[in-house]
Amino acid sequence: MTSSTTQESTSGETPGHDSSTHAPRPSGPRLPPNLVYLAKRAGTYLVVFLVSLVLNFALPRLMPNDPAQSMIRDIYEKTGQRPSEYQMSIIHNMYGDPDTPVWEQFWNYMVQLAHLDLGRSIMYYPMKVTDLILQALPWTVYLGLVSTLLGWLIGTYLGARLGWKPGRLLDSIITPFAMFFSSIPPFWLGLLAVWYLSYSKGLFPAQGAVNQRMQPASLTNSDWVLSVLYHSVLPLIALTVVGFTSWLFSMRNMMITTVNEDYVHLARAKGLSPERVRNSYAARNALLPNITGLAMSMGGILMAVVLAEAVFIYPGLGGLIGASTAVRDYPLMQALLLIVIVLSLIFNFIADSVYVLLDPRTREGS
Amino acid sequence: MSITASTLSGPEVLGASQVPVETTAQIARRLEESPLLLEAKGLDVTYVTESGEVPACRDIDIQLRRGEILGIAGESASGKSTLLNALSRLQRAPAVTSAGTVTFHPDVGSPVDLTALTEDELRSYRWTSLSIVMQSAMASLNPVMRLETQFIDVILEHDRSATKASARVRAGELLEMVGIPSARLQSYSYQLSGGMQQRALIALSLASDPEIVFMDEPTTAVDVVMQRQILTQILQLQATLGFAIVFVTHDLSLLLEISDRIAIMYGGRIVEIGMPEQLYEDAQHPYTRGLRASFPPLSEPVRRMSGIPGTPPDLLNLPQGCSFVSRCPLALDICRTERPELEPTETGVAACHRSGSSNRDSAADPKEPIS
Amino acid sequence: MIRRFLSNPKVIIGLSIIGFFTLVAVLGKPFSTHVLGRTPQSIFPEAMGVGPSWSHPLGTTVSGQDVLTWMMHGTYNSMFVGFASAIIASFIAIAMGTAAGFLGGITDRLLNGLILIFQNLPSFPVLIIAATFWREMPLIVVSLLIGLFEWTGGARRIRAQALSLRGRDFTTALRTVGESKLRIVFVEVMPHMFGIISPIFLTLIAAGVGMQASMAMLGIGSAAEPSWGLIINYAFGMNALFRGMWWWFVPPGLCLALLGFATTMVNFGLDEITNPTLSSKRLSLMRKFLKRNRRRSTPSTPDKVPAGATS
Repeated sequence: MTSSTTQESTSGETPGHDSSTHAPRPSGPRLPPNLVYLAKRAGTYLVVFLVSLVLNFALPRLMPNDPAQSMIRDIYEKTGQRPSEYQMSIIHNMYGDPDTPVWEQFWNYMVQLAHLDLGRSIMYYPMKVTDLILQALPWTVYLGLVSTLLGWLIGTYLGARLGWKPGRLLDSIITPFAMFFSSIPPFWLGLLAVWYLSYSKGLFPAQGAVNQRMQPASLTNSDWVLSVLYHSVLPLIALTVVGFTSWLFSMRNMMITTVNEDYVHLARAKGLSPERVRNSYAARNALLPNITGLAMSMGGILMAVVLAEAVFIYPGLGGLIGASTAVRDYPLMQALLLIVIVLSLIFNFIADSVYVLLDPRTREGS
Repeated sequence: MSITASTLSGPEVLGASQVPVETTAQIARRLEESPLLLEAKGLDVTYVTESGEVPACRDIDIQLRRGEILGIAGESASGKSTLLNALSRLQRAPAVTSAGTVTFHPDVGSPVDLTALTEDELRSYRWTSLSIVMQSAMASLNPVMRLETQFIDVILEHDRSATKASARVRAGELLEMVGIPSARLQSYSYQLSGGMQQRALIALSLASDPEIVFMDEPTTAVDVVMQRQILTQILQLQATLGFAIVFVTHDLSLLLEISDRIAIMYGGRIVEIGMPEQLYEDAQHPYTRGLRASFPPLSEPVRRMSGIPGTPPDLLNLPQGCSFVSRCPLALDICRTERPELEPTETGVAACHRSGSSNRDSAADPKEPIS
Repeated sequence: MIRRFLSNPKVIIGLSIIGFFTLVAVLGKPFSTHVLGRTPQSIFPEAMGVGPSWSHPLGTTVSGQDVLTWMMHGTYNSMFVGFASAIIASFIAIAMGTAAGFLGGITDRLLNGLILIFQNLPSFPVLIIAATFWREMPLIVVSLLIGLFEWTGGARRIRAQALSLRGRDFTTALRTVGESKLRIVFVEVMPHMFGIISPIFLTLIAAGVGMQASMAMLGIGSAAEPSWGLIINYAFGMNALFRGMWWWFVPPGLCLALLGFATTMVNFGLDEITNPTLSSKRLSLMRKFLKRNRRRSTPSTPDKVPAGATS
């Protein structure tokens, strides 16, 4: 390089010049990046939903037994009469009909779903499957939401504290403790709690969601609410004690990495208070993967909740799944499959939206 | 704060020619008259790693005077950035200050040894006395915080009389000072170009009117054109505001242009200190001459470049004598057995058995170009 | 790398636990049949629902079955599902990940979409449905289904690794020399993948065992193939909790927890090796150095930690 080029270029560009180059994407009248991001995620979830519909349709047809036949038999055994025409049509829509082509079956199945008609339960015949699910849903949402939020908040908070100064006393106590609890299946922890705290010590109820004598069942009835809270203590503990650990680990490791980032270094150089550096610079950034993680682990969380419900004979979806599996109540099971998938997709999307609020960049892969 | 945007911004921010050019004698006199600002004595920095204790910096003695631009040059792993972090008291694990002092001489009051202060005590010196501009602006700005917030929090931290509104005005002025429209305060760092990020970072470093600004390769991440522009701005801001600069880079030719004094580092030690003209004309250490020959000067005609053969020394396994001996074209027997100390020379200080009056006659002509 | 991997105490503990369970899985069944002369079906009428004793180290069930024998068979079946599902899932993950990463372009986008879909599809309900439709589903089919749903995480990491390997000098060089893509992938690149595939495989084992246990907990599985989860389910179903028969449901859960713990340990150890800032060893080195150094060099400020020494 020669001196002459240097001189030229020095005068060539004034400092204000590059103010027009900003966002990394080509500018123009397009959607804000955060909406594009959310739309992409929503698109993914829609595809996942469609795939699960197809699975729901295909699984019974792929299995070596003929669920349609066994179902007709089950209804016959239970009611003493053959299923009605309407039931037959639903059975055929859902489990296959040797007389109609597969594509027509799929179409009928979709039409039926569009009418939100998921059939009738065998176990609680002739209850509608949708009614059963609507009764159970609030309990599962309550357990799942509270345990997830509690676990996430505790884990993220502790992880931020520990990762800020790893190797300190608190870290060397809590981290091994969490490593141990992270490996315990929550349903087994629930079993231990029922055995020891309920049956052996009589501290908490062993099963159920509420004392049935506390009537009326309403949020304004404080006796009822207290009973609900009391009954949920053990399931919530079982779910939270295991659940917080993974958030703690990821937050702790992310925090350790983030603390070494230049912007945290600079914040320290600015002489800001350690709290401000930790909260606004380090933790604020380290938090982001924990939110993406929340979106991605919804399926696993629901599974844990469902199993805990089975252990505590909780009247949520888990109880229904356990019962319908045992007696092979196919219509109920298939509806449960759909509702669990939809639930997890909805919560995925909520977590994604929170992420968009917290990360101004919101671009895929960042 | 007397500086406002109008004194510096706008089209009058131009070439380096506006900054008055001093002769070496003038610089020397100015430095001599200027009071001491920061002084390192016997400073050692060690990296504590699984594979051993790495002596990243050893026996550093250096002084910085008020308003001085001190350049520190060296290859990668020479310890120059380590030294900068030790001087600014911004070490990150696994770096440890294992010996020596860094004394800060405030405007009023008695000198204070920064190495003896706790992190909490240091906070009152940070940004108001010691501020920093780091190499990667992209990585130095908080990606999830608006630029404005990153200015306001530090202004409010150190200026008790400031309000949020006055801090916002001040932040705008700072940005305008480096030629960025104040509306940009609302941006996030990823929305700025690389050059703009770097200039925003420089503006940020001046937010609390510091006495020393440590600059760690502040122009390496941007293209040559932007580099020149940023350097000019730094020099102008420095001339107006009068802060001292410690400027670390591997680019000696750049330092030759902007510095008052330059320290050359090799293998964790300072091997030579001198004024730019002296180092350019009559460098005493063969390594300095090698460095000079491996970079094109910014304002000279093209000529053939020569590098330094070999690689930097392994700090875990330093030779007994001079650490440069394996790459030195002028090595003597004594260089292998005895490490040269920094000795005063005709032009500055240098750590070389070949330099200094006692060895002068026996050595080959030191001006002879390497390779 | 592998030596450093094997010298990390966390890794050693983790691998030993996994090794122990594998050993029990291999030797447990023949041991109980030929040495103890017991099968899960053997009933001891004189000892029904009794606690641990010399003749029944883990006690018996309400119907007088030896819990230790059940546990040995259960370990075999649980570990079988763990290994089989991990092999299947790793195979899919490697195939999908390397194909997406190396072929790039439209293949990458398609496969990436597939990964995204499977990742967001909650596997548990689908597995339950499938298992309910197929009464007494054999464990190999259970493993296959678990494998079909557990591969996404591994595929994503392998894809990322493949993408970075693709850009490296040596692959570019081989391509210019005219080596076929397949040969490059299998002969040159796979060895580099070993480092990330082995922890993925270990994690998949624990995940498969856990998933099968969860299914069994809901009663899916046949008594002919007892597993840890099924033992817990039986204990739960036969009121072992109320009767206080802890020896029945504690051991299988403990095994599940230990196996999970082992995987966590290996992964933590690996993190420490690949990311030195997480290393506890380095932290203690720093502390030791500071302690020694403070005593020697700064006697004037004995009560203060010099700032900048740590941060």
